[in-house]
Amino acid sequence: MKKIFCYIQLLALGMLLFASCKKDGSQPVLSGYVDASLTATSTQLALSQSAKDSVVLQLMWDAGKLSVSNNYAVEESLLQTTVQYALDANFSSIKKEVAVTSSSLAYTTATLNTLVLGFGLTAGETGTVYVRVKSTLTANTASKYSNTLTLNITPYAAVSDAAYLYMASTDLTSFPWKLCARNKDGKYDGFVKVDQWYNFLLTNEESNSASVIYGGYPANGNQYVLYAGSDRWNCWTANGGYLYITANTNALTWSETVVSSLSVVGDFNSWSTTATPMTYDAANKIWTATITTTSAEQWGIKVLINQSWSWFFGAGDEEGVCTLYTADNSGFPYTKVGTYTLKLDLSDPHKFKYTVE
Amino acid sequence: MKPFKIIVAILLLFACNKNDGATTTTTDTSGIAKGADISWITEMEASGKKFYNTAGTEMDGIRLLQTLGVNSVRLRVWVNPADGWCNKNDLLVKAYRAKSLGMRILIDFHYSDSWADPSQQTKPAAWATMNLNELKTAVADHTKEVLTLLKEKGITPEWVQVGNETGNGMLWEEGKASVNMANYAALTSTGYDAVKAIFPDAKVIVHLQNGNDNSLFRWLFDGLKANGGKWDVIGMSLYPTKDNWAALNTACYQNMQDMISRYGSDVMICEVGMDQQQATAAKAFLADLLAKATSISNNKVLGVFYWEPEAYGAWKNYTMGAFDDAGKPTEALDAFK
Repeated sequence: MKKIFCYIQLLALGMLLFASCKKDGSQPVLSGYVDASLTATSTQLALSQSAKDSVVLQLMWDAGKLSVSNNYAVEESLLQTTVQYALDANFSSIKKEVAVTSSSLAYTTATLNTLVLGFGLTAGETGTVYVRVKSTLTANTASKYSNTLTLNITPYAAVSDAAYLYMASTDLTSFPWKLCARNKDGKYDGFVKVDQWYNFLLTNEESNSASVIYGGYPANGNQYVLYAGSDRWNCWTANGGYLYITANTNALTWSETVVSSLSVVGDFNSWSTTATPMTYDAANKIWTATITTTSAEQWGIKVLINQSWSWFFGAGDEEGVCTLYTADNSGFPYTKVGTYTLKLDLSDPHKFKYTVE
Repeated sequence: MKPFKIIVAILLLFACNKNDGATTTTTDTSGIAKGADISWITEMEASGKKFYNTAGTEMDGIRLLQTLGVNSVRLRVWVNPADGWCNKNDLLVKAYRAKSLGMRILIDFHYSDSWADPSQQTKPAAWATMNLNELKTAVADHTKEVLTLLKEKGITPEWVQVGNETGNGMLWEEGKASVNMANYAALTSTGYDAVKAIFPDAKVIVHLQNGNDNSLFRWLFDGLKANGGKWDVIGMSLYPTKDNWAALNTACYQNMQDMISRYGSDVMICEVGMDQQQATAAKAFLADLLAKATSISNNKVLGVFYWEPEAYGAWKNYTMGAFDDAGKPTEALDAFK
């Protein structure tokens, strides 16, 4: 195959050298791959928690429209666009790179606040963030960049919106695991490691006098129904092992999913779902994997749960934190070259943390 | 795919089209507008909603509609909405994106902080205590401010709607048509003049619900005309079911013809929709409506807009989009191809 590719390249090169500058020649010419033009709806942003759910900043750009002459079709996904953030105008250290398919990007006050606090801006002080749009056609051509915008942003000290439920032993003496509602919306989830037939309760405080204690609904056939009355039954799992638990305190339900594997995927292993499984270290409650790369991971890496492309850890809001996704999304940055150990700590579901050592 | 990419990469090195900065795509304004109201798109994107073509490739939602034959977008604007979506900046972002793609643009002024429709035409909070003259000034200022923002970015809407589904007027109580038609006519004319002050060539639409209800249209436009109210285009909504669409289309067709002969106006079908689950019927309904619209001579029917086709997955509990639960277009929009 490689030979064929080389042959095609040479052929194309030859043809083009011959015909490249003819305006209406018979060779297809691609146009519309240009530096994007970037605009923001505002560049001076004093953020306030009272407006946390309002849209506060939108970036929009015209990155051109690819077309090829002679009626050749252009693949829609050919042009890869990312929005890059840095704290210096030269972008010598990219703080965040967001892959986009749309040609605008919107932030609510809360999401922008989280973003810039993650960059290291200080609450109450105005900091400068630089943003630009990067367009890449293929891996082997030079990327194009938009103009750089300078955003002056004053973040606020965020009061945590997260709420926890604690997985408690039935005598309420030990609280080995916790679930988190990251948006304080009553939808909790988290990862636990328990024995088969483990019985438990879910409490709102790590205390045997917690004000809310959920157990199971006291009737047969209601294993996954939560109930806070004093005649509650225990919750229990027939599975045990490493589990993903959700609890919904609005719907009063809970669920369990067996996590049979975590595996790392990236360019380094050709996105193999099986080549790089992670190992669970029960003593430290972390997952580890050894990764050998020969170059920085272009698209970042993902950690797949149960080898699923639609249930994985990918790009997070801040450095060292990844996000659990149930639909297609970007990987999280991995820039180390050589052999390193990736450590993933899922024990506090408020933030799924990773380190590379 | 790979060899293609390589060739394209090489082509690039030698392509002689030098281009500094973004493309200025030109907009083709000929022919009937096949449109979609896409006002929710930025909020949907921010909440993580994604859009896929029928082959499953994730795409920019506006570009996706364009590939389906949609050549126009309709964008609503609220005065000071609680969470910012559909305010003037959010409008600008969507209009800029549509313009970059060479699409035609309809701007829809609600003159409210939230939904204006037959059940509510609530004044913006900041305008709540204004008298009629102050309201006229506020309408003019808001209209000019929003349109100037677009103009500064080189965006030229082809049509501008003054009020949304104003079958009983707007800016209640002052502008409630059944109470004071003269006030409603004055507020509408104020909006009309403000549009023309910024975009002299834009056509101004007055838009009513129930495009099948000829008596409603006659009552309101007779009233506007008698009171000197100005408009260029009569706009209509039509939301039939799978069972009654044929009858509603026939009634709407007769209403269009009556509006054209009675007032000499152009007609725009500003909003249509049908249950997302009834995609086959929706396609037949749309195709029939387009055929009826184009059968009217002298291009007097300017276009047909599907309302928020990209709403899917219980987005805001709206169920009359034209995308399935996986974020792919249903066959309904095939009528636009």
